[in-house]
Amino acid sequence: MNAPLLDVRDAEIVFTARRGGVTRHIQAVSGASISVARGQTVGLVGESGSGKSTLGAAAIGLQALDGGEVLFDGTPMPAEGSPAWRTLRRRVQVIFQDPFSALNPRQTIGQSLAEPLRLHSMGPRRSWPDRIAELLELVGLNPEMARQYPGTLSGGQRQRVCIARALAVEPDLIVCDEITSALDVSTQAQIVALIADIQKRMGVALLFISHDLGLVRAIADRTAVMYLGRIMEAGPAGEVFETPRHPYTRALLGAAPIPDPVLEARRERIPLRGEIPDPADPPSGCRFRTRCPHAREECAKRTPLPEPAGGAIVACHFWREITGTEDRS
Amino acid sequence: MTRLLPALRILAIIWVVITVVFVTLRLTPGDPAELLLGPTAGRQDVQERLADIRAQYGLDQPIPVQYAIFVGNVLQGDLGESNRSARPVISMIAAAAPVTIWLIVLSVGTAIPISIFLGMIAAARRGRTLDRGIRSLATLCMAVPSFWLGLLFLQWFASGLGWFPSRGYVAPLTDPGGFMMHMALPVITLAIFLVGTLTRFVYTETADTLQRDYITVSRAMGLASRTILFRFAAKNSLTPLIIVVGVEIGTLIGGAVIVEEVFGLPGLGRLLLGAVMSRDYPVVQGTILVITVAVILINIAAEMLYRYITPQARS
Ligand SMILES: Nc1ncnc2c1ncn2[C@@H]1O[C@H](COP(=O)(O)OP(=O)(O)OP(=O)(O)O)[C@@H](O)[C@H]1O
Ligand code: SF4
Ligand SMILES: [Mg+2]
Repeated sequence: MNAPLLDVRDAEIVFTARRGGVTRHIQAVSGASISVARGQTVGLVGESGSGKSTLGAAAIGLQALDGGEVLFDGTPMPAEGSPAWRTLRRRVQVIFQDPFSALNPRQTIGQSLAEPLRLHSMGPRRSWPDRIAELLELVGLNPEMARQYPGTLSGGQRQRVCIARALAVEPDLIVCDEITSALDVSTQAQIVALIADIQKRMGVALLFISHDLGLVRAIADRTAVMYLGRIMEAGPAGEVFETPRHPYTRALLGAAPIPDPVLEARRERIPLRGEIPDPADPPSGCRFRTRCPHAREECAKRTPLPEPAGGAIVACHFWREITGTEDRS
Repeated sequence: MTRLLPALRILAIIWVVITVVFVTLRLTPGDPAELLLGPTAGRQDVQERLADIRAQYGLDQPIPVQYAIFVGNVLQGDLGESNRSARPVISMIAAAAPVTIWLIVLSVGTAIPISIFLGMIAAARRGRTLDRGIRSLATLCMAVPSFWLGLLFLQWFASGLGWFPSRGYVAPLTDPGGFMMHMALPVITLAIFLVGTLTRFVYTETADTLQRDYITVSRAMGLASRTILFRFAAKNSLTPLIIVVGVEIGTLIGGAVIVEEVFGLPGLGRLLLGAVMSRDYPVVQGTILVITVAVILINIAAEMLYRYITPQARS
C-alpha cells in the first residue's frame, strides 16, 4: 500500500482548435508524469501556456486523456457517472484562480457551501447550518456571512469561501490552480498561510499550481517544473530550488527574485530569452531547445527522457555538464 | 424626491413623444380636410366645405393653439375624435388593442420556449456543428424582413395550399378555431423575428455562465452536466431574458404594425397606419400616446419582475 495518492503517468492531452478555418492540434500535455503522496504538497510551476491547468484538470478526471493514465489511490480513473466516479468526486476537490467566477452570484454563501454537503449526503440536512458555520470559522470568516451573496464579499473573502467549499467534503486531494494570482499581495500571503495551515491540520494533499516560484518554495514539499506540456524537472522542493539542474529551471529561477539573500547573491543570472513556442507546433527533440543557452544539434534530434539526478529527476541530455561548468564558474 | 424622479422622467418621455408626433404630423404634407373630401377637394365650390371641416375639427386654429388644446385634452384623459369617422379615439383604440395584444402575447409565448431550447442547446454544444447551425439560423431569422416573410407565408400557406385564411380576424370568444387559424401565420411571422433575437441572447448568456469556474467546480463535485445546464445555467441566463423581452417590446410593436398590415389584422398597427395615410391627427396622436405608455409600463414591469426574482440584484 505504498502507492501514491495521485499518480499521473505519461499523460497526453491534445486539443483540437479551429481558428480561421485552420485546424490546429495543440499539444497541451505531452508525456507528463507527476505524483502526489498522501498529505503532501506538490508545487507545479511553469510559464503561462505550459499546460499546468490542463494537467491539473486531468489529475482529478475533469479532462480526458489522449494517452497515459491517471491512478487515484492505485485505481484508474472511473467512468463518468459510475458509483466509483461519485466517490471520487468527494475525494478530490479543486480551487480556481478567479474567486469572482468561482461562486454562483445567485446563491448565498451558505447555499454554495451546502451544495457539496447535499451532493455527497454529508450528514443529515439539519446538521448543515452548523457545519457551514464551522467551515466559515475554519477559513477565518464570520459564520454570519452564510446569508450574504458573493457580490458583497471581497476577493480574499471569496477565495476563503472557495477553500471552505473544497474542505466541506473532507477531500484527500485539492488541486489549487493559481489560487492567489487574482488577489492583491497582502491577501495572497494570508491565503497561502491559511491553506498551508489547513493542509497541516487536516493532512489533505495539495497539487499547488502557480507561476509564483517564491510561493511554491514556501509551501511545497515537492516541485515539478513544466514547460510546453512536458515535466522538465521534478524533485524535493528544496533541491529543485537550491540546486536546479535543468536549464529551464535555472532560467526560471534566474528570472524570479529569490527571497533568500544568500541564494540571491550566489545565483547566476541567465535571462529567459524569447517567447514560449506554439504548442500546436512544438520544437522537435527537447522542447526547450529554442530558448536554451546550451542547446546543441543532439537536442533537436532526441527527446531527453526524465532521468534521476540526485534526489530529483531531470529531462535534459546535458544536465551533468551544465551543472558542472556553470557551478564552477 | 428620489421616488418622484422616475415618475417625472416617465412624464417627460411621454410629453416628448406626443409633442414630436404632433409636430411631425403638422410638418408632413397633406391636408386632412382635403383628404377627407377626396378628389373633389381641388374645385372652387368646395372651399367652403373645406373651411367647415377645418372649423369642425379645430384645424383652422393656429398650430400653437391646436397644440395647447390637444395637451389640455390629453391631461383630462380625452383623446378626441377621429377626423374621419367622428368616433372617439379611445373607443377605436379599445377595439383595436386586443388584436395587437393577442398577436404580441402569442408571438412572445411561442418564441420564448423555442429560443430557450435553441440557445441552450447551442451553448452546451459550443463550437460544434449544431451550435454553428443554430446560430446561423438565428441570424437568418433576424435578417429576414417580416413583411417579406409574411407575404411569402400568405403566398404559400394561404393562397397556395389554402391551409389558412389569407387575411382578416375573428375574435377568440366568437370563434376560437377561426381565431387560431387567422392568427397562426401572423404569429409565426412575428415569432420568427423574435426567435432570432432571443436565441442569440440565451446563447450568449448560457455560454458565458457555462464558462464560469463555479460550473467546473460543480462538475468536479459530482453534479451531472445536464443538471448543471438546467439548474444553474438556465436560472442564471433566463432571468435576464425578462429584461430583454421588456426592452424588445418596442421593436415588437414595430413588427406588429407591419405584420398586421400584411395580414389585414385590425389591430393598433393598422389603425395607426390608416390614420397616418388619411392624416387623421387625433387617431395618430392617441394611438402613439397609448403605445408609448404601454411600452413604458411593460419595461417597468419587466424591471420589477427581474428584481423580484434575482435576490442579489436587490441588495
Ligand atoms: N479547451 C481548450 N481548447 C484549446 N486549447 C486549450 C484549451 N485549454 C487549454 N488550451 C491550450 O493548451 C495550452 C496549455 O494551457 P493551460 O491552461 O493548461 O496552461 P497553463 O500552464 O495553466 O497556463 P496559465 O499559467 O496561463 O494558466 C495552452 O496553449 C492553451 O492555449
Ligand atoms: S536537452 Fe538540450 S536543449 Fe534541452 S534543456 Fe538540455 S541542453 Fe537545453
Ligand atoms: Mg492555468
